[in-house]
Amino acid sequence: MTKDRPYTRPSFRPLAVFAFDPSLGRQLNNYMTIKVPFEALSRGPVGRKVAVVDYDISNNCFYHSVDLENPLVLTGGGLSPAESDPRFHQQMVYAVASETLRRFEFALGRQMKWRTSSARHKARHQDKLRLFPHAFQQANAFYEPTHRAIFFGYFAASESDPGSNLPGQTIFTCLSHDIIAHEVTHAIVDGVRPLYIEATNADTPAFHEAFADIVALFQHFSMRDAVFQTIRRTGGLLYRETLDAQVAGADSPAITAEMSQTNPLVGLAQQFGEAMGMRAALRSALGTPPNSQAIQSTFEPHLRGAILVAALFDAYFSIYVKRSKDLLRMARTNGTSTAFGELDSDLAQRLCNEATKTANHMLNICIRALDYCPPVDVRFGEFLRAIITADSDLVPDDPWGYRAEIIKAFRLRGIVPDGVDNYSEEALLWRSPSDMGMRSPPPCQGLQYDILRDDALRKTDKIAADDDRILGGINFRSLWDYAMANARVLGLTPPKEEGGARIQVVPHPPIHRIGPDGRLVINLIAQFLQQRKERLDPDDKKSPTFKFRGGSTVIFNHRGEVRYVIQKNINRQERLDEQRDYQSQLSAVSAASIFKPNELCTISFAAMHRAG
Amino acid sequence: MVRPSRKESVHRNPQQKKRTKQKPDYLSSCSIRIRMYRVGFGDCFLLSFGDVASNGGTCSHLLIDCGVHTQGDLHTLPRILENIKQESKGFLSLVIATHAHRDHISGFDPSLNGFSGIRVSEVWLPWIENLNDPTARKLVRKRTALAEALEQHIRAAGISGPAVGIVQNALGNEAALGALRNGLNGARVRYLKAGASFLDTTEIKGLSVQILAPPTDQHFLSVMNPPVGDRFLRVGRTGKAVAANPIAPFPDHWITDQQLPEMPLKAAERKKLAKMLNSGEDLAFTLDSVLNNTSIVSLMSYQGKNLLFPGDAQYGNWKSWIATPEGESILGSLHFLKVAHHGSHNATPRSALERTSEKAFVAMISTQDTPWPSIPYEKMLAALRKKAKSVVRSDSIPVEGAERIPRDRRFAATTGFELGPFWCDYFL
Repeated sequence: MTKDRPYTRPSFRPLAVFAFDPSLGRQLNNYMTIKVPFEALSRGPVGRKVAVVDYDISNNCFYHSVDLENPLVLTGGGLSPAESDPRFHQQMVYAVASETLRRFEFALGRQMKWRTSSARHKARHQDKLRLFPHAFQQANAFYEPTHRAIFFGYFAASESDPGSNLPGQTIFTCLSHDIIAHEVTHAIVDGVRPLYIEATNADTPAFHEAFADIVALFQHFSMRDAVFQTIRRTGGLLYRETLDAQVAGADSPAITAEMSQTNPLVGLAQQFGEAMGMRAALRSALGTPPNSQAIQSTFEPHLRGAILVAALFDAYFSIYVKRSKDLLRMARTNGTSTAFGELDSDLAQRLCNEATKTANHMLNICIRALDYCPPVDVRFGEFLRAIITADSDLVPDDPWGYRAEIIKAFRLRGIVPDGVDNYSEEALLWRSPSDMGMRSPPPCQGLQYDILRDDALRKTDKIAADDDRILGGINFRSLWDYAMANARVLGLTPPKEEGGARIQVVPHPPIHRIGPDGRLVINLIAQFLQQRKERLDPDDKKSPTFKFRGGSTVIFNHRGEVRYVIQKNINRQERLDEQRDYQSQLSAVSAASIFKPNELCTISFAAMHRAG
Repeated sequence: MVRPSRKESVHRNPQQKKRTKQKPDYLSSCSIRIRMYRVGFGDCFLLSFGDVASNGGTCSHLLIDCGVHTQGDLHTLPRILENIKQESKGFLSLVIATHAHRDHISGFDPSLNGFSGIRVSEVWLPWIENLNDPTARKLVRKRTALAEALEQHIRAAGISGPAVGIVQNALGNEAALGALRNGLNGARVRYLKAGASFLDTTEIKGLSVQILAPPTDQHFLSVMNPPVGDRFLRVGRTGKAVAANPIAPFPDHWITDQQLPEMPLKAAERKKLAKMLNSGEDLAFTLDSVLNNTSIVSLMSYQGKNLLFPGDAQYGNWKSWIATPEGESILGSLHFLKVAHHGSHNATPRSALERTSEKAFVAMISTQDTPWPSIPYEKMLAALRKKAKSVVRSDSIPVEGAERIPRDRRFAATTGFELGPFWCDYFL
């Protein structure tokens, strides 16, 4: 009996999804195929990191689950898009979630982890994020950290003003590419920075929302087919709000092809928005023209987040224009028209390359910056500093001026980083202890960077995620000792001093990346946390208490030397005052506080995502 | 010469002297009387302008709200309506219904017959109640649908707590609203939005009124738009909770009992998820704020005195005008403030209090701690007491059969106040 020679394990599993959502039908190549990193799947689908559980809480029932390993499904590259088949919904949710996860793992150079669930919720499969594609009847979809799950709702479209949907038609939020990417991003960010869900200042909740929108929007620009179409129909100006009509019509268009359409690339969750009677996408990447005052008076998390999103897209489109100017100039000297849906197809292809490449760069820049953000209480200005530092670490020379464009866009939106004299690149870089005028601490001894070197670590043939865990265990001890010995330099307050607290260590696995100059960049990032109980109102003994947190993100190089300390000192009274102030503002706005004035306001994604 | 005559005068008419209390001196300089009735949980204010000292017929009268919540009703409303008729001698120049909550408009319900003998010249309502305005109509319809669905949901799901009272307050106001929209007895009806202003308002010479809220901008509208696509429960025919507006997203043949072997959902977790979904409380809170924020906020000026009546305006409503330079000057020059929303937690923003002038104004609060123990918010009241000249709570007015708040929280009668059997007057 001859045994089959083993087949090569494929890298990808192609799966069909809607590029936007069902409302766009087949136009603009709305059907696309996502190449999901290959993994063995059981029914659900249940993979290594995500599990689709099709339980309907409202109707208290389960729906038949898809078996993506079935040969009939495999041969077709997954099920074809169908609104009426729940199994396609499961496939789409799985595919988009995996794709979003892949982008993070690619940009950060390591495996992502979900928030560690509390002991109470410790289930057998605690390393998976659960996705409920038809969780309940509600015009809402949200990530719920305590259940470590994302719930997607379904609802009936508005009867009177349903946009391009049928009146009363059932709308599935789980079929919106944007909504899936947005919610999964919440879960990923929550895994990297679990304390960002605490409402500590106006920027933090807005940052969560903005980041989720940024990821969802930049994913649009990596869809080649859709970008290609858009470029052709906007004469290369893919940031325009409308697409030109397909044929030139009279002043009053008589057929659909003569009408201009909204540009789906720059809008988020179009079907959802229209079904709610909003006539437009839920949110748009195109904010109002740059206004440096808006940031001072906008506090609703989505609206404030939109300022950050607008700044980044401003930078993106500026870089795209810079990169494509020469192409358009060449085309024009040849007499080729660049207007009105007639862009030459070769030219459109080249522009499309620039657009998608830039989008990927921008997304990677944003994601990498996440590691350079403080462990708690993030602000937009700090995100800017994180972007600049992370990017100049990896890409020292910046010929297209990405960083300059980003800085300019932030400046125009009035986003001011604290403790920085000016908007120059050097000033924005995070500092090392010696930059801050302190003595340089000795290198941290005993850090393990190499996941391959020590075979003794690899007791079993486990996957990389387990290596990460083992390494974390080893590094944990070294980092803790180091923090205790060098607390002050690391922006921490030692437990024994006044205002100090126990130091908690959250090690991340080491990062190996290759910069565009071919250098291998090895970093190790650790978060140190401290917390203390404080009363909301220091003069009132009955006032509720909250955990006041501080800490720092410390970035080590391959020799264990401290490169940057990104600190939020627990011993800074201004921070505490600001936080108290913010909490009381929050309760002033919250409707619930009238009836429950002694409860702290927390961020609830469920309440926040309600109808946008 | 002097002594006997004095004696004489004392003896001449001792009984009359006792019966009609001598009018205090300050009264001669007063031209406004604000009468706060004690209804229980609700609002009812009668304003009189003119020669308020003489008790004569030269005053013009204006009524702001007249209603009480079903929970926390002291049953004084019939007597109040009678008193309004008497005081106004059957003529009100203006009736303002700040917003469509029961505790502000239940007195206008035609079944109470309170306004049948009163001629009203004008009725003011917030623009959101104008059924001829397509936007307003849509919002009213949505709001009513949500309140009704919530009411059934709360009953079916057996929810208790603050949500119950909230929903009661929002429902059953159609008759009263209808009467107001018809101008009570044929009065002219105006639907007001921020920016409107009147001089010699409704022919009261010298009374100017400025409307600060509700606004009409897009942001306000989006906040006004509560979600309604949710699944609600109602009590079915068998007495069990059933879905009121169910969607079955897929035909039955897609439903299975088979769980994923890899990812089972235990019954306990399913229960927890259902609970998370059905609380309805957040929606009730939202609904409440939405309606409160439709409140007409009116600033009245009469003979150099400025009075602010913000209805039940909460943070969102204040925010729309407070940050403007105009808002700043208004609060700085205030003589009287009706405390918004019965003194609740977020109805008097700290930033608003900061803008008022120290000890320059008097505040009145119509409130009590039933049905919601969290209203009024004592901390806010403490801050207010520090800032205002004096603060009067309606639940410190003695009314037969009703509890009074403890002595230490009652107002210390200062100049300008007079207590009646179920009201408190302030003269300025």
